[in-house]
Amino acid sequence: MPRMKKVCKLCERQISQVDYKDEHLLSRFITDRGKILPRRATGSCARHQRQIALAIKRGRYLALLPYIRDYH
Amino acid sequence: MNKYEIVYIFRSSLASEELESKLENFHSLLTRDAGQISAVEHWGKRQLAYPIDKERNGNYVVAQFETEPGSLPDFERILKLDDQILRYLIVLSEGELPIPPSMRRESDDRPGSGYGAASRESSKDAASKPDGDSEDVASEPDTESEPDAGSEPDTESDDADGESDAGSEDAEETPEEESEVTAEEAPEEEERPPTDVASDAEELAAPVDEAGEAEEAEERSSSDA
Repeated sequence: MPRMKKVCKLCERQISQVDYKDEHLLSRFITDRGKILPRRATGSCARHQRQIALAIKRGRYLALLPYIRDYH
Repeated sequence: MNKYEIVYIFRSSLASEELESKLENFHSLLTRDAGQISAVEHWGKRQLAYPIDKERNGNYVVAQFETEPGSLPDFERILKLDDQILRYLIVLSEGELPIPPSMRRESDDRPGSGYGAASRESSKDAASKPDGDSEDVASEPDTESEPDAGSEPDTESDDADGESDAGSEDAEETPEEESEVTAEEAPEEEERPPTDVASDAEELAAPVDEAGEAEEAEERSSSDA
């Protein structure tokens, strides 16, 4: 049985370049612990997943996003 | 000439006049050799996602500029020496806007290029609600394409769960239909040769065949799923 095809959220919204400053958007692609979500969880296309990963790493460096959240 | 974007994070204790003079100082290094500053955007005081140098808040400034790559090492050396800068990041500009979309509303509310941190905070709070609404609107196409997951359209993981559940249900349903078809049709065809020979043999043979078919069907469905 063919599974329902997931569509990349960023392709749907026609975002050509992921902005590392947009932590509101990027926060949808990390877990509640701050890890980058895999493509199988988000359905992102390869091109956008690469951009997302890079943007999240830049966002972390700028303290817009956490490296780890709620770790005790 | 390349287009760059820089994000500075200043210590939140730094006075605004000092910050302005520092920025002017830094940018003069860039503009000296025919470089150009195209945009400077003050984000104001923001909470850091984690403490940097024991500071919990930082003053963010984003600037876009154009300059020769050769002038960057000198520029960066000055930035590194300044202990009022918690952190900076220079990247090649790829057409990003100085303010990300999630903050754009807030910037509309902002009075001029004012620098009052307190008013900024309050306007940010006020702007956070419209942002939430806009996100809901943006996620509506998802709910339309996935009516099963419509109850929880907000988060990525919920969508994924709803979808995978729907997929597994489909996978379970169709093999059952197939097994019904094979169980009904196939044994009838095989029953006919025995009827010619003996009715007792038919009664014995038919249940065995059906059981065999059912097992095969089960195997098929499990492998499909």
